Amino acid sequence: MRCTVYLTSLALGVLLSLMTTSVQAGVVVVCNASLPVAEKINSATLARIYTGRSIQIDGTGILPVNLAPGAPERTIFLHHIIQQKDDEYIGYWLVRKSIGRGTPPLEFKNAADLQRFIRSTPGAVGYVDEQHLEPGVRCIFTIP
Amino acid sequence: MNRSQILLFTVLSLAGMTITSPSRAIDFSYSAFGTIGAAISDEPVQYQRDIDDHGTFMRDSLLGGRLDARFNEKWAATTQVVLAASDKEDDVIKPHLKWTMVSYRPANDWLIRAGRLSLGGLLHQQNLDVGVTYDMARLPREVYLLSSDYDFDGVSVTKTWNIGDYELALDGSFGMQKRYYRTFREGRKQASYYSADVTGGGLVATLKDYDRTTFRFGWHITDIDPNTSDGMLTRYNFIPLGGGTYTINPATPFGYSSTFTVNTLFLGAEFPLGDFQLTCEGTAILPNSMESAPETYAGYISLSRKFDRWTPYITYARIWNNGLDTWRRVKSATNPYPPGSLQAILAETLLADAASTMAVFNQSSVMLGTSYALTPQQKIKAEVMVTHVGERSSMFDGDLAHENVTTFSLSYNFAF
Repeated sequence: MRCTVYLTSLALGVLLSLMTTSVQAGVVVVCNASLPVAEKINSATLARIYTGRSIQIDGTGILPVNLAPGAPERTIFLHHIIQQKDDEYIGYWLVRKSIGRGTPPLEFKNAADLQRFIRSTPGAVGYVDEQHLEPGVRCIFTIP
Repeated sequence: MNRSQILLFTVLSLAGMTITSPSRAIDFSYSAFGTIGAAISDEPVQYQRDIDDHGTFMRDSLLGGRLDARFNEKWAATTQVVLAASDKEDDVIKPHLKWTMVSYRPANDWLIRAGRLSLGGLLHQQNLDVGVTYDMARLPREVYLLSSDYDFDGVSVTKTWNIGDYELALDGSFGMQKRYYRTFREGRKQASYYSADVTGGGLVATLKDYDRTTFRFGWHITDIDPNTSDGMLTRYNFIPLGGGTYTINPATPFGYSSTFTVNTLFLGAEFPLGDFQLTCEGTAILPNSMESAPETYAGYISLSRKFDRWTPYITYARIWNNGLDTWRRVKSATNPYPPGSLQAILAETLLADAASTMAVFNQSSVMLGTSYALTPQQKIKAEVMVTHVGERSSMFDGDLAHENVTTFSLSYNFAF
């Protein structure tokens, strides 16, 4: 009986985890391992960086990167850092690009491609689901 | 090489010189935007050049392509081409070289751009061509009348300050432009264009948050040098005929000026009001001492509210100037020649042309419309607009007075 209950619970858990695409762990803000100003990056500076208002921290160029629209990590990141939904963020950059005030951050389809870029690009900053974290990038902080 | 080709070559050369030893490859990105827009009115007299009771796609439709190159976090270059109705002839579609510039951002709070720019001033001046970035089917023409005239070849310097969640930006710019003006001659029943060399600049201050609040104040000053043999018509020479009647001096009917100066002021605000979004703008166009183009004032107020993907809005816009008295005098001028004579016929045409080419506006519009966001990058918009013409409005090709004109508009807007 106990074994049956245990197996049923396990099966339900597996089924539920297969059905959902939500972020299982936290979203971690990461950067290139050699970024000298990583300790100065917080939510406020990230908000300015991801909206194009800042491109440097203490003279060090920062290159933000995003996951593609629809990624749950992106939704959590935008909500927590900029308090915007994806469509609002896309609309913000459409306007900013139209008026010649920059181009939106580069986008990557998955965490592996994003982290490969960050590892090879000085100044790059991004975010990933903690469970997809790979070695070679520096963790800055975790978004709950 | 024409002016646009020279500009493109200069910008590409400047862009090439900025590439020293890039630590990584240049990031190129391309994008496109466009509007497929139809409009039809209930009036045979053409409004805003293209809109009448036959319907048109010319007024609002355009297709734009843009190439951005990001060399590093400080240097970038952009070029943009828009295929749309020509600004120098009716019923012709032509490519226009629009934003084409090199930008240099030495620090977070400085931005320097050189090339073909839009100076800004009105809230949606610079993103006017990208219809998906705003909800109105057509930004009120009463206020955006001169919007196409603010693309300059020059330089712009922007300084920003971060004040909490707000960004305060001060834009200073200077440049030149070959601008085309259209006039409709009632006497000859035809439109004509003339060009002018324009030099000018301005200052624009913008306070903006990350969300939906923007306040803007701007001032532009432009020096206009018409490319016509006589210069610009600035004055009508009336002579009395006795008995309270008068005519325009047949020997020297008009006074001309080789150049003239226009000061333009802008004031705009956009902010949430409860669940609604309020947008209002005003502009004052102040030429110096021109009877043919008197001081003009315009403004609009718009209220919108977002319901999921729908954003309905209602807008009231008005434009007026103090040129009606002069226009009435020109219209009422007596033909000084014997009726039926060749000189009388020619004078009649001249007087009709003189009145119709005066930039006189006395109209208001109410717009009721909605946008529907298929995706964040695609919108469908629909609008019904009722325009009330007072005694005269130069936005109509012909004599229309004390009438209401209804215009229906439908458009599909996209950007990627």
